[in-house]
Amino acid sequence: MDQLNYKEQQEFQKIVEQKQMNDFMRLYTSLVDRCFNDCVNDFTSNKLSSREETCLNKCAEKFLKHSERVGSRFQEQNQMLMNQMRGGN
Amino acid sequence: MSFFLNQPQLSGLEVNPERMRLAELHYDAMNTTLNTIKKQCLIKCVPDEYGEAELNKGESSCTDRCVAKFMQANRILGEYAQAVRFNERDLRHYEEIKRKLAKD
Repeated sequence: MDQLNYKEQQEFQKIVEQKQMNDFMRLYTSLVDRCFNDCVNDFTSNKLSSREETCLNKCAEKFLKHSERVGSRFQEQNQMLMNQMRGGN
Repeated sequence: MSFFLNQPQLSGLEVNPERMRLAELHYDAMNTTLNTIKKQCLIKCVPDEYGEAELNKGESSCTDRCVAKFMQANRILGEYAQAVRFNERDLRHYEEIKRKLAKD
């Protein structure tokens, strides 16, 4: 992506912003999917119990921390691959 | 004239649609990979009980290794797919569909 000229970079920035909005929605949907599935399994009442609420909060926090960790490891791995490719050729 | 030369020359630059399409494709591919890694490594490394909101030591190192291994697996499978000409051989039905669509 370094080969894009200045104007193309600006155009691409707009595309990326739209995509990031979609990504954010996808991340949020999978957070709700995962945490609801893991924390809410009792339907004898129509209210969330305090236990379920605690679980949801912890689940959400953990989910995001995991997502961040994967993101930074992914970046590191990619950087390593790029360096290898540059060094190898 | 040097006054103009020092400006980023927006008007002189062209937007090459092919390059833009490639950049987008590249971005999407990376993004899909990242999303798959997140999903898989969450399933494999974080159990579905939430005593703590923090990732514990085991979960953290599992996640780190999971990402590294996924990328190794991804590379090997990528090489395989290229070697067997995956897209030419196994996605041939798309060509059929494209031909039909082109006729209409």
